[in-house]
Amino acid sequence: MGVYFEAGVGKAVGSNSRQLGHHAAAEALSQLIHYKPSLALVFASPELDLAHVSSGIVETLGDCPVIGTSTAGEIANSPITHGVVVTLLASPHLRVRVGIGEGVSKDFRRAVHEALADAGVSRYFSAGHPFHHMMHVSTSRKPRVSPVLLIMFSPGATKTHVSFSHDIHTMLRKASANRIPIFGGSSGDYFRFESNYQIIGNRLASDALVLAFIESEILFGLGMAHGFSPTTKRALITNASGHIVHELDRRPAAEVCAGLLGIPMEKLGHDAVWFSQFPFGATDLYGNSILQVPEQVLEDGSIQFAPLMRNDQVITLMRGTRRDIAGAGLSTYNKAILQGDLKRPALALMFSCALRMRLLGSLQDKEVSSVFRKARIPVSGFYTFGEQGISDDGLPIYANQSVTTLVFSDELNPMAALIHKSKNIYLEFKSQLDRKVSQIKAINRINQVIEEQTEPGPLLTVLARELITLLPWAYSAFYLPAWEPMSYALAASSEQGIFPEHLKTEDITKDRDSFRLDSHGKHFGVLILRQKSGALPPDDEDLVLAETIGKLTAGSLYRIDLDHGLDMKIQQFEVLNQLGRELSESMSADTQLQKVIGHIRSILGLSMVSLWLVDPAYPLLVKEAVNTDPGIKVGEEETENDEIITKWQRKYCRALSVTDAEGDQCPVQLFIPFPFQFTTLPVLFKGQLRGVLNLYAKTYHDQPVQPGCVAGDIEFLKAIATQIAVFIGNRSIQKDTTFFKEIHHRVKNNLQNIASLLRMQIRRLDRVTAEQALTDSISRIMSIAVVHETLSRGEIGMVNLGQLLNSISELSLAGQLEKPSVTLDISGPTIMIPSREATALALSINELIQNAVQHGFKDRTQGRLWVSVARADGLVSVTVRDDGPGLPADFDLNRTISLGLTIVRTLVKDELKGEFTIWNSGGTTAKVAFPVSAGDYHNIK
Amino acid sequence: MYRILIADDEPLIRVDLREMLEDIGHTVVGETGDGKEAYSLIDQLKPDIVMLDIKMPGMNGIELAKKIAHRYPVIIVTAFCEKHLIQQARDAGVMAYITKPFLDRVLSPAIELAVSHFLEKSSLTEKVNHLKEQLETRKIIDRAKSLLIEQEKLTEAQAYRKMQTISMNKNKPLKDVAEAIILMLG
Repeated sequence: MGVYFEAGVGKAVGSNSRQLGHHAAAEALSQLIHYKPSLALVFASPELDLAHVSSGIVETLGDCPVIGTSTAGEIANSPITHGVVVTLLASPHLRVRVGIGEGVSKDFRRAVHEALADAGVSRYFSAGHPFHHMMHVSTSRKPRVSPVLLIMFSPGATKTHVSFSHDIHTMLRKASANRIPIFGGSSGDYFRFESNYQIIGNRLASDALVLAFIESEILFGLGMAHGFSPTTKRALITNASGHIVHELDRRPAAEVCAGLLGIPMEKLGHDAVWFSQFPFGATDLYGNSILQVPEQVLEDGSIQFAPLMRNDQVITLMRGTRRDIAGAGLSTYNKAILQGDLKRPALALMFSCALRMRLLGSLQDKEVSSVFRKARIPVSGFYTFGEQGISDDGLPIYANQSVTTLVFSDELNPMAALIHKSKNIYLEFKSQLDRKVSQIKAINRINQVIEEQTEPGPLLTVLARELITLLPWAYSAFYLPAWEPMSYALAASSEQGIFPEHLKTEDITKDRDSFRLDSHGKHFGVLILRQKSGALPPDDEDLVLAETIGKLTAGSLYRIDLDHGLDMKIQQFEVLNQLGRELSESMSADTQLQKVIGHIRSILGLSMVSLWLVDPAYPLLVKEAVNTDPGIKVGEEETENDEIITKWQRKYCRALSVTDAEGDQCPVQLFIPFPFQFTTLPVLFKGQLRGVLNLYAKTYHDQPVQPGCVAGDIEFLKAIATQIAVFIGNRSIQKDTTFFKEIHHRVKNNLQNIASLLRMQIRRLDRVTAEQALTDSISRIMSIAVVHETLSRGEIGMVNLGQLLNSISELSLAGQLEKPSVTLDISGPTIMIPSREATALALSINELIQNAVQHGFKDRTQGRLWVSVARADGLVSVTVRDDGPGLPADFDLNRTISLGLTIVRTLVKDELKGEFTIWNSGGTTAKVAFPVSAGDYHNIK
Repeated sequence: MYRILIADDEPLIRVDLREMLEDIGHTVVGETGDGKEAYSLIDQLKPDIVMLDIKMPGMNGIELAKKIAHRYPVIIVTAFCEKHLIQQARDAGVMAYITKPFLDRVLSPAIELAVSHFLEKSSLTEKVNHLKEQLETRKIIDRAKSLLIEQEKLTEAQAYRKMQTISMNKNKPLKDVAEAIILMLG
C-alpha cells in the first residue's frame, strides 16, 4: 500500500481482445487503493486486435491517459506471450501528458514535433529552455533526480522499414540537452518484422511515436545493462552511412566481421537473431560499451546495424555467458535503485530486447523473475525492438540487445518532499491558526456572555453551547452543588442525554477531565468533560483551554453571586428602611405592629410570622401579633409549637434557625408533624428580653429543603428584630412620658380645683361654721385624692367605679364631725370609667353622702345608706339613698344655696354631661346618671 | 369695668373664676367648657376680654386665640406651662398667660395689662395702617405727577397744581385724581 505512489499491473491472456483489455485494466485498477490512475501503460500482443484491446482498456479506466505498444512479448512479473499487460501509475504527485506523432517513417522529425506539441511539452525540448542554459552555465553534476521523465514508444524495424528510434532518441536527447531521462522501447512483433503498433487512448496507430511526459514528485531511478563484456577483437568503422557500415578497417564490413568472429564468410549469419549471439559494442564518452547489433548482412558485404553508425568509431566484439546476460535484468534494477537513491521501490518497468529473449531461451524467465523475487514489487514491461534508458553515467542512451529498467519508489523526491513538508507545515499551522482564531472568537463570545448574563442558569446554557466549538473533542457539562450535601445537579450540557442529572462528589473523578469551578476561595460547581469516541485525545493546550474556561466560568459565577448578594443586601436594606419608617410613623397605634408583622411575612415570602411581647405588668409573654399566609392552614399543632418555640426562646434568649423542624438537629422539642423551617429571634431592648419574633416557612416533601430560606441572612432578621425592639422601647417610653405629663397636668388642675373649692367655700363662710367648712373641704380634697389613688399605672385614666365608691363612702363617712352609726350598702356590677369623669363623680358622690349624713341623719344616731351603681342604655348611674326624713318641702334644686349641691349640679351638668335628680323616697334619693361611650368602659369578668 | 367671657372645661374652676371676677367688679357675660361654643359666643356677646383654657373639647384655646386675638384681648388660663405652648400662645397674639393653680390677686393686673397692651397694640396697628395708606397715596400721586411731567411737558410744580385744581373742582381726594390720571396716561 503506497503512501505517495501506487502501482497496479494487470494481465490477461486469451483471444477476445476487448475483454482482455477490460480484464487487464480492471485487474490493475483493483490494486489501487488511494489514488486514481495517473497513467496507463499498455503492452499488448501484436497478434490481438489492438483497437479492441485499447477501447476495452479506456472503457474501464475512463479519462486516464493511456499509451501503449505492440510487443515481441509481454512482461507481467514474468514473461508472457499473447497477452495484454496494463500497468497503472497512480499518484497525486505525478503530472502526465501524453502525445502522438504519426508518419515516423516519412518524416520522423515532424512526428517528434507533432508528438511533443500534442503532449504540450514542446518547450522542454527547445533551445530556449532553461536546461540549455544550465548546460552552458553550470559544469556541476547533473541533478541525480529529475523532476521530469519521458516514456516513449516508437516503431521498431520491420522487413520494409528501418527503425527511426535511434534518430528520434538522438533528436529528443539533444533537444533536451541530455537533461530529460528518456525511457522507452521500440514497438515490435513476434519476430515477423511485419508491423508494429502504438496506442494512445483508444486510438491505435502504426508508424507513430507515442510519448508520456511525466512531471514527477515521485522518486524514480533508471538503469540499463546488457551483461556482455568486451573482447580484444575490434575494428574501426571506416565507411558508414546511416545504419549501414560499408567498411571496417577499410575492408568490406562482412568480411572483417567474419574475421573477427573467426569463421568463414559463408558461416556468417544474416539476421539480427543470429548476430545477437555476437554483438558489437561501441564505447561512449565515458567508456561504456553500448551494444550495436547488426541486423542483416547485405548483398554487397556491408552490414546494416540497428542503431545509426558513425565513421571513425571503434566497435568491439562482445561476449557473454547466458548467465551473465540473464543477470543483466537484476543489474538494471540495482542500478536504478542506486541511481535514484530509492528507499521504497514500488514498481519496476522493465523493457528488454526481443533478441535477448531469443538468446536467453530457458533463462529468459530469470531476467525478469530475479527482479520480482528480489524486490517483491510488480515488474512489468515488454520485449522491444530497441531500448532507451540512462547510462551508468546518467546520460540518455539508445541501445540494442539491452535491458532498461525504470523503478518508481513510494517516496517523494527531496525537493517535492521539502515542498510537501512545508505545505503540510503550512496547512498544519493554518489549521492550528484557524482553530486558535475560532477559539479566540469563542472566548470573546464567552466573555460577552459572562458580561451580560446575570443568572447562573442561562450563563451556563450559553457556555455549554459555546464549548461545542471550543472543545470539539469532548462533551461538556456544568454541575452546580445540589441541596443534598456532597452532591451536584446538572445545570447545562453541550449534548442532551449524555450526562446524568445528579452526581455525588465521589462520582467526580480526580482525573484531568473534570475542573473545579472555584473563585475567591468559594466553590461554585464542576465542569466535566467526556472525550468523544473517535476524537483525538486532548493535548495540553486543549486542557489549558478547558481549565481557562473553567476559571472564567467560576469568576463569572462569583460575580453573579456577588451581584445577587449585593441585590439581596440592597433589598434587605430597603425592607429595613421601610419597616423603620412604618414603625416610626405612627408610634402610638398598637395596630401598627400587626401591620408590620404582616408586612414582614409577605416581603420575606414566609408562611407565618408571630410576635410575642413581654407584658410589663406581669412577666409573661403575650402573643402581640401573628400573620399567616392565607394559603397555609394553621392548626393547633402550629399554634402550640409556636408557643413551645417562644418558651424556648425566653429560656435561651438567642437567635436560632432550624431548617428541618422534624429532624434530629432541632434543639426544640416540637409536636410533629411540623413541616416547617423556622427562625426564632429574641427581641432585645437595652439587653432585656422584650419579646420573641418567630418566622416560619413551610417545607414540602417533594421539594428539597432550601437552607436558609427562613434564615436568609440571620443578621438581617436580627436587624428586623432590633427594629421591633426599638419600636417597643420607644413606645413604652412614649407611654411613660405621656402618662407623666398627663398626671402633672391633672395634679395642677386638681390643685386649681381645690383652690377653687376652697375659694367657693370662703365666699359662703357666713352660712356654715368654720369647722364644718374646713371638714367639708378636707373631704372634698380627699375625694380628689381617692381618684389619684385608684388610678392604675397600666390603664391610664381608667378607674374601677365600685372601688371608687367604696373609698369615697368610707372617706365621706369618716369625715363627719358628728358620727352617727350609718349602715352602708353598696351594690351593682363592676364598671370602669375614665378618671376624668371619676374625679367629678367622686366629688359629687362625696357631696351627696355628706348631704345625706348631714341632713338625712341629722339628730339621729343611726341610719342606713344605700349606694348603688347601674348601667343601662349607655348611661351609668349612681344612686345614693338614705332612710332619713327626706327633703324639706320648699326644696328647689336650682335655687339651693348649698355649696355641696351647687358643686354636684355643676359637675354633673357641665363635666359629666349627665343628669342630677333628687327626690323624696321615704328618705331622700339622689341620682347621678351620665353617658359613657361604649369604647370608654368595659367589663372585667 | 370689663365684660368678660370665660372658656374652661373644668366647671368648678369656671364657677370659681366667675365668682373671683365678679368679686373684683367685672361682669362675666358668658362661660363655656367648649372651644367651638366659645368662638360663637364671642361673636354674639362681643366681650371686652376673653379668658381661655388651652385644653378644651371642640377647639383648643390657642387655636381659638389665633382666630380672635386681633379683635379681643385674650388671656390664657391653663395648667400647662410647657415652653412651646407659651410660644404658641405668644405667636397667636395672646396678651397674658396665667398658669393654674393661681391666686385670685393675679387676675386684676393680668386683666389690666392685657387690656392696655391690647389697646396699645391696636392703636399702633392703626397708626401703621394709616402711614401705609399715606405712603401708598404719596406713591400714587408721585407716579401720576411724573406721568404728567413726561407726557404733557409740565414742570413738577405745574403738574402738582394741575392735580390740585382738578381735585378742588371735582371735589375728589387727591389720591382718586392721581389714580384717574394713571388710568388715563399710564
